[in-house]
Amino acid sequence: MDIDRTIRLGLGAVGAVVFLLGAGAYVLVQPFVGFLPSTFALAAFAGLVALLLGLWAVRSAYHGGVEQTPVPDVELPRSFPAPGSDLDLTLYRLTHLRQGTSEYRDQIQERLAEAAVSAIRQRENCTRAQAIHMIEEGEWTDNRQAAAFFAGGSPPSQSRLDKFFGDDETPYEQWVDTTVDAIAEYAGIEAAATPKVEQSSDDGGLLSGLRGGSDDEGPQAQAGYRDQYVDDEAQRVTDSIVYNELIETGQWRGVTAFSLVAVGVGVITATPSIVLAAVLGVAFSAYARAASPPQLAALEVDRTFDESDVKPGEVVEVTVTVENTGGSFIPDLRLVDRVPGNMRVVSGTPRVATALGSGDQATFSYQVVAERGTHEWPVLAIGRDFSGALEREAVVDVEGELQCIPSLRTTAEMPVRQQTSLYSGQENTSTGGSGLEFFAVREYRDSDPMNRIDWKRKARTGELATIDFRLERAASLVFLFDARDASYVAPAPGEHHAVDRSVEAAVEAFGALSDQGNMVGLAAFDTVPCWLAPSAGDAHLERARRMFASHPAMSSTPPAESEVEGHYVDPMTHVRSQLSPESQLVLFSPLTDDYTVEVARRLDSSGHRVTVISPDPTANRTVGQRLARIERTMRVATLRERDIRVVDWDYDDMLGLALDEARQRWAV
Amino acid sequence: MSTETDELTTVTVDHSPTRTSSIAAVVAAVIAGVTSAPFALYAVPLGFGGIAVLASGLFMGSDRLRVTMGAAGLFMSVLIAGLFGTGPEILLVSAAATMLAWNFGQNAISLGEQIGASARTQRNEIIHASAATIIAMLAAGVGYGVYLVGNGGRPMAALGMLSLALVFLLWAIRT
Repeated sequence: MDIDRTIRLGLGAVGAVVFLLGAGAYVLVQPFVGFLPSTFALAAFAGLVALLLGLWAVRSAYHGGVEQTPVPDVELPRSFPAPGSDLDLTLYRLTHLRQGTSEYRDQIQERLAEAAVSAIRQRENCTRAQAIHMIEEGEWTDNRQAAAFFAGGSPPSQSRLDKFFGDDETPYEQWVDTTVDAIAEYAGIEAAATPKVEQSSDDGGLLSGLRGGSDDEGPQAQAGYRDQYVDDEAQRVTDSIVYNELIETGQWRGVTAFSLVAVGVGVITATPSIVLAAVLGVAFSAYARAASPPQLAALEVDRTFDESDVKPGEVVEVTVTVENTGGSFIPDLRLVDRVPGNMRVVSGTPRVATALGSGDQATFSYQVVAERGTHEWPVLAIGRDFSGALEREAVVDVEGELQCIPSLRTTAEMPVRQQTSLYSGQENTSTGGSGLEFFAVREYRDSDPMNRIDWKRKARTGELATIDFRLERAASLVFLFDARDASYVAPAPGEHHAVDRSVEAAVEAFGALSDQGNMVGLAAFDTVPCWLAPSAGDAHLERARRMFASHPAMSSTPPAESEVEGHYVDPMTHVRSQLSPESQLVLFSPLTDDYTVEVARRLDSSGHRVTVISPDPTANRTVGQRLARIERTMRVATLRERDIRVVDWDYDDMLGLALDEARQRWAV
Repeated sequence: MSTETDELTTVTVDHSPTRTSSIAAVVAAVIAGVTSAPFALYAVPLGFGGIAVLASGLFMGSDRLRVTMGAAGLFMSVLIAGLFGTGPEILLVSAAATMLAWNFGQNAISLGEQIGASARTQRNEIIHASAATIIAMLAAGVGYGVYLVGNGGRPMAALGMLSLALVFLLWAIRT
């Protein structure tokens, strides 16, 4: 920009000299006229230059465009991708952007093959090698195209008719599509209800970002809560206010073109009134040039809630008051309350555009549906100067938090497996002892209590025998949450993601289980260690409630992006070191990858009974989503094979329903 | 979640240009068109075409390019009107209205994108529009004053130098 500045200064200087010459000639006339070239040519030249520069300015204005701070749609809940969107993305890159052709092709083929192998192993009950053989031979399906996919064939050629009608699916995409459908059919999963109609029209915004080309184009959908509020150039001006970089909006870009063209046309055609009209362009250029950066440091924001301690799902009225406590007038102030990503606005609007004089206040209010967690969020203040040429975004931290803690309801009765602790409780065991329900009669042993001796038998046969009742014990359970990045998926944009569903389910089950006298603990695998040892009592319940509400591992926002996958605390070490041997595990996971399956298997084989409660986040709108559904179904089958109980919980159902169904199956 | 809250629907976010500024922009455009058109028949299609394009960029979708194109059309109609001998007073009004229409339209779109049409924005819009209008009036007034004072038979050399100076200075402060 320095060169630009120098050039401008130089031009200004030259302009000033020429102006003085001209003004001198204009006013004093006589002495100067002799020196100066006094032809029409000079004026015409100036006009021509002006016209050309004007056209140049039009061009650069056209290319420069207008820049302004993008504001996310804070009203909408954040959208999470459906499982399988990674495959869709790979496929899109491969076919439409032509990136990484061979490696992506290999990746896709490998994933499909893996799904097909497990489908074949499920159905044919054969070894992996046999399944691979079947795939290579293409014996597994009647569909020739699908069979050829793994057997090294080439994609079926696209018919000219399709091309003519503008079917933008490439042959390769169709091939993958057919193959996935064939695998689904083979595995007995219902195919897509409306296949290939609105392909990937809503894919959680993953593809649309790619398709849109550049990423910062105007307002975006809620880009996510993790996105940084502040950019690299941000600087903290006060304790609560962070300035982002000053933006030149370019709203007046091109106004010089108006002037230059007017001067050009006016001078060439010798029409003074048109040259006069150029004065407006000059004035507006100067207006935009004279802009001073907006001062937002003196903003004071106050946010109140009609109720600050709420249950999830309740509607909260939020009122925001912004006051300009500084001495200067803020002519253009746009305020957006940065509602947390998981909450949605149901009435009113969390934005306002106003102008604040010194001491003025602006108030706006809106209603949100509260979601689990302890929320504290900033206000975005975008200030502009009078002309709108300069814009600055300030992020204002606001004190006061909204606490939304779930109550531990006792609605869903949770089946507990046969593994109990040493404490008495209500879980029936298959061991005899003291209790209520008759269990068995056995030989008398010394020290058996007198009230359990079967006196009738003694009278009949003369032998001493002891009646055993069914021993009732408390189970010790640990709820283990799969809160890795992979679990932040939802079947459709705007729906609750799987971690939220898991925690909702756990909240329901937690109360019920502790009411029955069981001891319940909490753990999660995530970047932050999360552990609450199984225990009972009111204090424990309260601790659990707080953890459900605000533990970072169970939060409704995914772990920070910078944390790469390898950084997760491995539940193998972290959870197992604290797990007492008699604890059962209830694993909440959408089962979107094989890692959780592995965790369940290893915990199971180390002697803990494992029940998996798995909200089903899969959808069937795109190829990737359908493949993800197949993969997940296979995982559920694998787990069930290993005698691990899986509650396959449909996203639309209540947990109670899913549990009832599961109980019926387990009872058989 | 209770069933009660499920019925609450999320608000929709309306990013169309804000109303006040849009209407102001169209009014300014109509003023520009009406003041330039009657004096030159050739200016009519450009002028009224410009109004239509500008209005479509604000009321049928939200499109900066259409607003700018509309303003450019209006400006050309102003130039043509000037070529056909329209007086400087009316020409100034036309040119000022054209630029204000352009700027109001831009502001409407900008506010629509950042804040949305369903939020309260009038105070902001009115202050922005008033400030721009005052600048336009001042500029027109000063320019007209200089025009009146400086009118007379002056040497061509001086006019040439002054035009050249104007070009240099303009390019120096260009935006």
